Amino acid sequence: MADETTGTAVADEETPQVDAPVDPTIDAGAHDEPHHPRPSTYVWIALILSIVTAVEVALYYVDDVSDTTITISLLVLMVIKFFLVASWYMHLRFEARIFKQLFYGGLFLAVAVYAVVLGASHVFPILV
Amino acid sequence: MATATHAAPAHAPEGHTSTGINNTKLGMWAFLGSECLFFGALISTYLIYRGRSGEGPFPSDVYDIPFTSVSSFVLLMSSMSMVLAVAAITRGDERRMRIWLVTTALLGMVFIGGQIFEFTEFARAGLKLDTNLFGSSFFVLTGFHGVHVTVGILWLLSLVGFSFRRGIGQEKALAVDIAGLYWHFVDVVWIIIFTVIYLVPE
Repeated sequence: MADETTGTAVADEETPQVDAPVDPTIDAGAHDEPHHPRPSTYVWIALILSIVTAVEVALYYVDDVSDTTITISLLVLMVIKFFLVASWYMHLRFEARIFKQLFYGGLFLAVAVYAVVLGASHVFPILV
Repeated sequence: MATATHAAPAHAPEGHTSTGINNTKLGMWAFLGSECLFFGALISTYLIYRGRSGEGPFPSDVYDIPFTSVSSFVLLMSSMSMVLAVAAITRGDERRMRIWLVTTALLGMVFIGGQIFEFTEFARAGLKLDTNLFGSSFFVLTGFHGVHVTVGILWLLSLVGFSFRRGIGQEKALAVDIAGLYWHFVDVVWIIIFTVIYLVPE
């Protein structure tokens, strides 16, 4: 059955809810929107995103660390930000599995294509 | 002989599907999946051509990291205001939804204004689309992202206009949710661009 206000797939009312995890960030009082966090949670996520961005920019100005360390740190922070937005703001952590497959499938393909092209450019430099 | 029919029953409510998954939302996620490939190709092109420009200006000559950091922060905050708009209409609070949608659109305009300023500065420094490989791949990538942000702004403003003319009730929250998905996607693409294009050392 689908929640018609947001299109989110939700469990049928007759389906017994067994061992449902209790997530304190989800507003238990909103019976019509059981999958959406409280607005205050979104503000906290924004605060975390801001702090991570500030750390990223600070890393850019660090001189006494190798480029490899900085690059890996920046990529880890980027992935954290990406999944924070995708999971909480795009509600992917509350969505049906098919939505996650479509989105992360596209993302995986994009990374795979880049890896193949980058690899090919090293093996066959004349291509690029 | 009995024949099977796949037609939806006449009494089925609008948006109801046998899978329990809304088709509009499914279509939007499929579109976003394909957009991952689109931007993946542009980012890949930038990275593969990175450091291969024969003549300047080079990235280190033109990038203004403090300025772009503020632009990135503005776009991140627009994602927060967007999700608050979705939360408001999900609760049935249309007035607050309008406020957050307008806020999101304004933050998007600030971001686009910053991008126009940045492009202008780059052009003054001698970097144009056909100057070198860096210019071509940079302007195409960030330009397409800017176009996506602009489309998002127009979409948000049209939602605000629709809300004033006909109203967007709780039953039409999906329309705002779909626009929100698009906006957040534009934001996550910028998260990648900001790190990979601007911050990662060459």
